[in-house]
Amino acid sequence: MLSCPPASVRHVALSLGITGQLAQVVILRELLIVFHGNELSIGIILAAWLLWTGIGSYVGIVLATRALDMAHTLLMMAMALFFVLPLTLAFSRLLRGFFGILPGVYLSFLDIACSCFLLLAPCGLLIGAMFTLIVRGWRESTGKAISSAAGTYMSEALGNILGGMLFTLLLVHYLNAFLMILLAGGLLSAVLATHVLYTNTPAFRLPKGRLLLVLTILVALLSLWPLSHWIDTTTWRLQWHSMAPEHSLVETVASKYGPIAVLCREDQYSFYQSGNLLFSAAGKESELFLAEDLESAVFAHFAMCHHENPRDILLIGGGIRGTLREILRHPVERLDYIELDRKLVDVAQSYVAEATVASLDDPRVRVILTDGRLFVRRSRKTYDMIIVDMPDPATASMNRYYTKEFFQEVSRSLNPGGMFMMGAESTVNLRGSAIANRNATLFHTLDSIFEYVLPAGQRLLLFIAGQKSEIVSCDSRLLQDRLLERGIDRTVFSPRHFDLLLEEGQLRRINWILRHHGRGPRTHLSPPQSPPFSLPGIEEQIAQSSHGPAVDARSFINSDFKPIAYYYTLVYWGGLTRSDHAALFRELSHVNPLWVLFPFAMALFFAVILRALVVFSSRTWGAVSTRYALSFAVFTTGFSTMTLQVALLFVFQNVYGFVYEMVGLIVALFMTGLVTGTATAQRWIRDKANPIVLAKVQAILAIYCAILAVFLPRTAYISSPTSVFLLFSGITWLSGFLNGIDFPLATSCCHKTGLGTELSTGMVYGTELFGASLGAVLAGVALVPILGVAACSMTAAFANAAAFVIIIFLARE
Amino acid sequence: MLYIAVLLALLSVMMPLNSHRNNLPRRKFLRRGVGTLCSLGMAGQLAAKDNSPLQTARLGLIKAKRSPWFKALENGSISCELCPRRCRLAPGQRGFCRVRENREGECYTLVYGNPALIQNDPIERKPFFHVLPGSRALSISTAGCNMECKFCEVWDMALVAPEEVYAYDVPPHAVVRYAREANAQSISYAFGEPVVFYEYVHSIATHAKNDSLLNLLHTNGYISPSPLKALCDRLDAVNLDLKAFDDTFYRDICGGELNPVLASLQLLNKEGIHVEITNILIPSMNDHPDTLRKMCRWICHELGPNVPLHFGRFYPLYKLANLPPTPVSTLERSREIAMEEGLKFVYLARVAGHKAESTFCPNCGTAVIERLGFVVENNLLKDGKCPCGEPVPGRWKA
Repeated sequence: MLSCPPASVRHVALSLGITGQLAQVVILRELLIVFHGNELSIGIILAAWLLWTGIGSYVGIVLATRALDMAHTLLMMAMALFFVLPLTLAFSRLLRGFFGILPGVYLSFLDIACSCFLLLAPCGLLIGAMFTLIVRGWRESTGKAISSAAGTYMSEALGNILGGMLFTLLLVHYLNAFLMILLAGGLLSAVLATHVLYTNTPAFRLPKGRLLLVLTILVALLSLWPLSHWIDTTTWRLQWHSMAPEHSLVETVASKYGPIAVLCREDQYSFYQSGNLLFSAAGKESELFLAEDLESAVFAHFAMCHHENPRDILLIGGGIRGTLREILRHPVERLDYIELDRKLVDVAQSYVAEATVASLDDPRVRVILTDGRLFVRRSRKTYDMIIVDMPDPATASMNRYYTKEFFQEVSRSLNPGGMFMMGAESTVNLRGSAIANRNATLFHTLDSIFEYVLPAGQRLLLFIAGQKSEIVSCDSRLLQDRLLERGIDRTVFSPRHFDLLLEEGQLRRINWILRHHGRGPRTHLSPPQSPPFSLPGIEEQIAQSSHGPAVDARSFINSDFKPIAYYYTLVYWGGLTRSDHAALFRELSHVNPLWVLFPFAMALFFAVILRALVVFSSRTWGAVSTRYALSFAVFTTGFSTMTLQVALLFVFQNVYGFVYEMVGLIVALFMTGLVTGTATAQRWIRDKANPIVLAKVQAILAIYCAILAVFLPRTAYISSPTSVFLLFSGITWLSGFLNGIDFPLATSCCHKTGLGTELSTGMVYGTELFGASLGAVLAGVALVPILGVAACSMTAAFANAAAFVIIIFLARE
Repeated sequence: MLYIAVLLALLSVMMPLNSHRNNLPRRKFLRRGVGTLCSLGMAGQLAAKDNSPLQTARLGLIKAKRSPWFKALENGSISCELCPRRCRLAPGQRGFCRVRENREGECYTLVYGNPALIQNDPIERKPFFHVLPGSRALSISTAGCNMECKFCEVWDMALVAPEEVYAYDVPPHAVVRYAREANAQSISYAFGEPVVFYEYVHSIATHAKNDSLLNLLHTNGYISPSPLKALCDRLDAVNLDLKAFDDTFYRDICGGELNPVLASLQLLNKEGIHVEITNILIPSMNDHPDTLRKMCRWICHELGPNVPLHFGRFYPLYKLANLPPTPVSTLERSREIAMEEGLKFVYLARVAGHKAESTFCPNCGTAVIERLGFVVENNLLKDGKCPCGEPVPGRWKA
């Protein structure tokens, strides 16, 4: 039974959790914009946050062991946090302008890492330190050592859940970022102040005079509340001024998928989400919308003219940028248009050309607001044409539209003679290895499912695929005739565009490069072969390649579980920054997966040395070696749980579909499992804690991760969405549970080696966070994209297995 | 012993996992370590049967030749005199352009005969609108560039060292032969930066001239006067990229300078070479009406009102990947400004289908050459004249 401190102490821990979670989510979303929505940065931002919180908890140990006035210190820290949070938010918006970064430029990995680590230091340190101090306060009010650690941990976790759900379900829809952050900081300060006022605990009492002063300052700070809107708008404007100068910021919309910004220059409106340019389109006042939206017109007409009689169409994405409008000029009977973000559709309708808005109301069109993958998987309907007009696979979520599994689902949903069309960014001669790898991957993945694939284009590479070779044509004459037959006005879209798109020289070159690159081992490590000068025609190229060596599936087939196209896109972005991290990424692909085991081998080696030292002198080295084993176990728990969580979220998104609230709920379930695990361990340990139990938990975790490694890829075959959700909820809850058991066990064992409560707690908490930090960055940046989900889970398994071995080896007594 | 067993079990689970996931039998999985030689060999097999050097590009091919464009300094250092950068190179050091090197106190070009790009294109693609419309040109280019524009389209060829690209082995006389075989009427030194492979250009141009092929240059104009002058008697037409009429833009965004480029334009004009100018308009960076007006005024005054000017649309790419494309209305407005300042032939590039891709007679306004992108739809010119009689300046015949 947890011995209960006064409710107010629990409330303080709870509100620390709420505040921490709210602050983390808000700042993460803001920083993502600064980095142009680069998903890599999520791993780095999380890692920086976790790292500083970990260091903060160590700092907290130092503070807690001094004879400090607890209440005073905590209150001062809370007030400092109240200040620091909005300042951090403001700085993150002004970051680009402050460093004079050119508009439109992607920041390199190193730049992102440095700015995150500098920016997140103050709030991370404060929150981490406060955790350890609250543990001390809890202990002093109950007199129980270990339950104070577990109790604080659990309350904080509960606070995290509450904070997360509050944000997703309520706050993001109504409040701007500054208001949310002021709310977060204010909540903690208010709870602490109240606690201090009404407490009976001697540890938390404060002299009345000082208290009044504090309260006055608090009230003064709260008056910032009405100013928040002004601060929010001004910082937004300053930020966008440095990101897209001389474009006026017309509107910002808080969508749960990322903040949307609408910018205007003359008669052109550009739509950004999380700082990433989605598309530009002509505005309502524009007379030039046909010229302005040319790209979407080319996309639409190229697709539609390939099919002899396209009546049933499925369009995923791109409708509001004009593709839908152009498709409807053809004799379409039924069109299903899928768009994920309702807020984007709504805000775009206010600004794009009237003709585009009208196309949404066309009686032939059914607008369906859902995740495209989810729709295709569940739909029983078949189509003549499926067109995907989505952004490049630059995020894990976008990668799902370019995988083997998706193409299989698409192929099943096509009528006989049906075709599939998609596009991706490319360069003039496909020379760089990253972009060539990425586009060759897209080509080969398509080619593995469809019988006939034709890539065409230059800056924008279009892929058209079908099951019969007679249907997909590179004859521009045929396409032109169809366009004219369908009575599409020449002034709208000239048939000559097909001559441009299918210009023989460019077409042969692109086809040659894409068809040849990726055949044979290790071809992804060097740039693609340049094509010979006199190239065979497309038909001959296809015939030749069917006799050639097989495609290196490991590096050139994109799958839901091994998102290699996503990885290459990240390398490509990195290459654009011309920084050394591009080279680093390339080196990463040289890495043999088994090398991931190397650090664990090092850890084992250390253990052997320590064991030898213990044999030599048990007194000095005994405690040290036990603590090493315990720290390593805690580190690997943090590491493997985070790694597994990244992999799980990735798979869930792939299998279930990207629905923001579901992802939030899954994370909340993890925390619930965590709390339950901690409570359960609390109930059972008491004085029974010893390293062997911890070792057994590590073993269970290892086996669990290994099972998931085998099992996760098979989840793709589960058809019922409810089953998928329940399954993933269960798995996540269990992961949280196992993680939760770890904490009180480890703290208890540490305590037994002679360390004080705060010291043990702080050390365990901090080390777990370091592990989680490393896991976040490694899994998000390298493990999942390069090695895939199964290998990621196996790495987690190995981490825990190594911990098991080390504990058994070192902490036997 | 328990833990070793666990480890072994885990290891054995991982191995078949890999091969199963990729549907490859174990044998192929083990072959992974074989190496690139295999793939290169295969690629060679798949290429067309002709064994000419043009058919097989090699990674990192370097063909060095001594260059006369340098000045010897003390201690074996040299000052390269080809472009206004005037790189001072210690022995063994490479210039900013990555393709010129100091070897034992002498300047060597590393790109004499190893083009990374050799392709056959319509002439309108370079873009040359007033030279042999509808004909084909053989384009040739090597790695390297003496500027570093943040909106570079060919950065993966130009802004890299020659060791990092695939190149063909093509001596200058062979270029001309290939051009003839491809039924090209001209050779264009385009896509990369011809200034940095000057010696190669000079040699090919000499052979081309002897064989009645036109020599077309597409350059950034960042070259010293002497080498440019020495090339002029072999040149037939030049398309110069005037990045902006603003030295700050040149320095910050391109890593170059404005004045030497203007000097090149003046020199070309004096030598009587047909010049066309390309200007990519990047929103908020170089599209201000006042600056554009000054630029057009300068062009009209220094080079004459007949110089074709191409305003190109910017699309997000390379280092400016998140900046929106140029609004078409900005392009149209810029064209109006240019025509107000007296320029007669102003085009919009990269807005395929726009009427400003066609050539209009300055007198009667008829569309004498109709174009869509690089496709010529209709050509009404007879002996370089509009049906109304007005001459339209340009190189209409070989």
